[in-house]
Amino acid sequence: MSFDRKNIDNAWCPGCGNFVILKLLKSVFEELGFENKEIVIVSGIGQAAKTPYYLDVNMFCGLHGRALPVATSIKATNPNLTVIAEGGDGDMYGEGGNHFINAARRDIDIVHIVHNNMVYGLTKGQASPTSQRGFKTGVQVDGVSNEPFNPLSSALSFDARFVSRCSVTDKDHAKDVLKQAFSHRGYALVDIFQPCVTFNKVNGYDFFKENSYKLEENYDKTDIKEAFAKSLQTDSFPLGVLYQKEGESFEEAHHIKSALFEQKRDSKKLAQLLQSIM
Amino acid sequence: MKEDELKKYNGKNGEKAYVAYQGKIYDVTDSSFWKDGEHQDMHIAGSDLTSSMESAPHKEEVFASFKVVDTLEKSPQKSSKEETHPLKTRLKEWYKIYHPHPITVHFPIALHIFAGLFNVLFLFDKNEVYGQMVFYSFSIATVMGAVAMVFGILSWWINYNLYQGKSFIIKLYTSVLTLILGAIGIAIYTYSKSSVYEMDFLGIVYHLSIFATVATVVILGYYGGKITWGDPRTKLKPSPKALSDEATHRQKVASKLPEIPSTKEVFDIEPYIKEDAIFETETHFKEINIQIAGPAGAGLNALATLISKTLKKEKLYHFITSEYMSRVRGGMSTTFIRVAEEPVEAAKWESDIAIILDKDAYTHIAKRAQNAFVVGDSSFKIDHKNFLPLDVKNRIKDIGKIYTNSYLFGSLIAMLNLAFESGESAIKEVFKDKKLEENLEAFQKGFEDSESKSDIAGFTRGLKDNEGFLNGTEASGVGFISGGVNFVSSYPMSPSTGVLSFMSKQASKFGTVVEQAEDEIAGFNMMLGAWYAGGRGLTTTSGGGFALMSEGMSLSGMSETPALIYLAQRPGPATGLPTRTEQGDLNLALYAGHGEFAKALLAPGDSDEALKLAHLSANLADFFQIPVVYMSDQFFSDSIRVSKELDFDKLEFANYIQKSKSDYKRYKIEKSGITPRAVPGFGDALVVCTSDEHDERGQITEDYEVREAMVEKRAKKLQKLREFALAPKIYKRDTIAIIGWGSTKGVLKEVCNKLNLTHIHFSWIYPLNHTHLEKIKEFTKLIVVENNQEGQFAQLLEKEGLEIDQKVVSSNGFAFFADSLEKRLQECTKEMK
Repeated sequence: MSFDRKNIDNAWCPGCGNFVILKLLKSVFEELGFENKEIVIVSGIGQAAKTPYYLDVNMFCGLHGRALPVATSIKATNPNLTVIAEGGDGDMYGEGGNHFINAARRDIDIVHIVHNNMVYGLTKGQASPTSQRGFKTGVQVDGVSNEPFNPLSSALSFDARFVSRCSVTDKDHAKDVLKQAFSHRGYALVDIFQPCVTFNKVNGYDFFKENSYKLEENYDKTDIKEAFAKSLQTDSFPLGVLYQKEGESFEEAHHIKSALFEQKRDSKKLAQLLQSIM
Repeated sequence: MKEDELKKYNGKNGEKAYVAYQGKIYDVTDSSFWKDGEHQDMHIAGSDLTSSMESAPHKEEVFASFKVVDTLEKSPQKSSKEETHPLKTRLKEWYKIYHPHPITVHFPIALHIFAGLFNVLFLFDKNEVYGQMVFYSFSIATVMGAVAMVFGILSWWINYNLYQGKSFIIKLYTSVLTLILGAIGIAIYTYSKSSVYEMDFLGIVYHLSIFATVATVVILGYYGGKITWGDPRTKLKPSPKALSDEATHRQKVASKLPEIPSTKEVFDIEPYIKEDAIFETETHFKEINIQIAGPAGAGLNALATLISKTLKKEKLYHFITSEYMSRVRGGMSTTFIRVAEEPVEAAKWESDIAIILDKDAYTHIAKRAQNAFVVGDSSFKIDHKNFLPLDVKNRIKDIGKIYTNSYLFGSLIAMLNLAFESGESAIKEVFKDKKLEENLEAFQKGFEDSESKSDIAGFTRGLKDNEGFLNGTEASGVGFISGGVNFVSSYPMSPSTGVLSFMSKQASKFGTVVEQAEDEIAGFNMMLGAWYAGGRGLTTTSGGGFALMSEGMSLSGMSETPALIYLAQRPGPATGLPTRTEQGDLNLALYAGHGEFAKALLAPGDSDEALKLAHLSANLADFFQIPVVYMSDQFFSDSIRVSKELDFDKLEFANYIQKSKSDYKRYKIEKSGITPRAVPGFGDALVVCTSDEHDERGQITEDYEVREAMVEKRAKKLQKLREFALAPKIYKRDTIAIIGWGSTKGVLKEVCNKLNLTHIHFSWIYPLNHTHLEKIKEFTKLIVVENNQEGQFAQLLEKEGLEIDQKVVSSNGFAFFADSLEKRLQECTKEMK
């Protein structure tokens, strides 16, 4: 099954980390035996949010920051679909911050993929929520003074049951993390380091390679305390599934078993309802 | 679209005619150069003409006048097939360099004509020199003709893909005929040369064949030229006949496209204009107005429920509304209960009976109870001419203070002179398993302690068996469920929360998914996602929350994803008066969302409209793929008014989702502007939803021609909506017309009837239909009554071309009262009459 969308005009800069993620997703879909028709990618606005235009799957490309609520209701409306919310750090952690908190709490069965390049690409180089302190931009002329947003410890504090990070600098490992995310039933966060070669000259391929490490073989991903400790490491970023726990997803809790469009309207039941309240 | 799909648009049998050039697809259906999908007999619609342009007598500018409808997707299989014919490719290149057909074809033409001319000479003077000249040139012409024919067929294959156009077929037959004639001529000359001179039968055949070839080569030359250069006559202005042919052709095409069902089809209401006053309502009828005042948390609602149930049992029409402060406990609220012989749907400012639950309550309603009987505990020591003190505290001391309301209820039943049993059964129904004994005891004591203060016994009891009472929230809620709403995502906000709760309460029975969103933005976007995935979504909100949804409105407009919003208005700006009423968000709803896109606004005025418009709104959103805003307000949603049973089978439930085929395109340009909607996971296609400007596939584009086509596509929906609009209801009585919209229907119905004024009620607010508005221009004076300060609906009507003479507005947080509005309208129409 091919996941290449035909006749497209790719808008990314040559060398962009997004190309790696695009390729990774295609091979993950193939290796997991997904069908094009069963996948929906929901995205917002940004360079990362253009990903669905280059993949031959269903897509909902909506508003900046609003991919998560849309992904939530798509899954709730048709639980047979495999739903992905995908976007950049500004889209998901900045504009859509409130939805990040609540998607994790709601625990709907979606994969939340965040391309984390520590900079705004589409708007040409301003600071993002994950930009490192001191990072100079056209707006943050004296360097970023805010503490960078920590998506992993945040997600853990929102009680997300699957929290992970990977980097395009280690493709095999990233593929493995993505596959685990798709196999998880419930909300799954995958934060992917992905260099912006045009607007972030500080956090490039070398930076991510040198400042990250893979979690040890014997790492216990069910230990929330350990996960928190790992999530707080920012001198060298841990890569892998930091935390995973079994539980009940939103659709399971709401007993949503089939697609809503299969429902039939029942005139008799309606008449009864009206009579009972009149 | 792909090349395979393009082939379908061949302009035949009512299909559109599309042609591709350099990756863009143009609609040439309406062009006189492309009748029946054929151009100059050599090009057919449904094909890519990029390569043909090189040999065309015109340049690509000809496409400037056609509309771009899509981009051409080259199908990879096709190109690989082409590669398997390397001979054709090589021949093509060779042919392009040497053009063997035009080189060779002119010799036989010239020589055949030459032979014919000399044969004329020969017939005059049977000179042997002439005879030989004719034969040799004829023979060379025939041989050269065979060569030209070979190259001609080659050219036919290479350049025209053996296209069997009229010109080609004529040329083919004519050249074969020429060849045969040549062979006959040569044979006769060779075997019976004397016949040529002696003019016997063979000789005649010989000479005829010489002359016939002159004719055939002229025909060959003519069609050859036509193929290469086209027919200049068709480039002239099309005749009137051609134009009318085109019109019929267009009509044929149109009849094949999905048409918009009429209002009647989608909705069980005729789009009608009522010319006559339809009220059986009397101008004068008996009525009693009761007001109950007390702090929040004192049980006003429970008391109102008990009274409503009793009145229903007694077959008495009534209307209940309330005003309350934004407080969970304390503050001061009033419940207005109006009992009447006729189905009234408005409250009155002045009361006949005022029940006060604490001392401050009297201060709250003193102005509204000047001529009323005021009922309250004797300890309140009220200074009022008609104060009827009750010893409530002492009488229920043994039962408990919390039973005060049941005691007062008993007292009211006695004062209204209603049957004890009716009140008792209401108590039993409400307090089934909640301290029934105590409530009954308190009720009985209250009943015993009061005496009749009304002539209700003499009221006509007109309530019919199929009638009951609903508040606006319930009526809307049932309507939404009827319209197939099966997904609700909202952030709570007064006064819209009622519908959210109602839908939640019914969720398990109807399989509805209800989720409280983290904010209004999430609520709106979830609702959109639900529609995209095949559900029917609803979000409920009030002004402040709706303001946050503006960007989502715009997304619905661009992506053509249906959206349904229950907007319960309350007075703004900002937090305003959270628990009170106003029709102040019309402009917000009208202009919500950046950019230009179609939307529909509906506002019900009574229970029947609430049920049917809520049902319709879901169908409308689905059919037109637009945001539909259903506008209620605090007064409308909280008030309990009469309602009728409904045959839900008659409300057509239409589901417009289409099972997709693999060639489905989400934004395919249809004549109606409406592309059938597919959903992911239903059918063979992938379904897209795009917030950027897009082509038919949904891919991002900045091509200005595609942009123009898409803008036009979306704009068509607004026009269609105007045509579809429900007409305002005109209750004609006078040349002065009072115009209202939404929740003012009940009060205007009553007041206009009493003052003998025409009442025009709008429940379809936007977009308005100009034929409907023309009807309104017939009235000499137009007065718009609305519950806001600026007269927002009056402004909309003025924008649409009506001249409004006066605005009667109110924005103090109350809905219009029947008695005070009557005075105001009497005042302002006095001088007009």
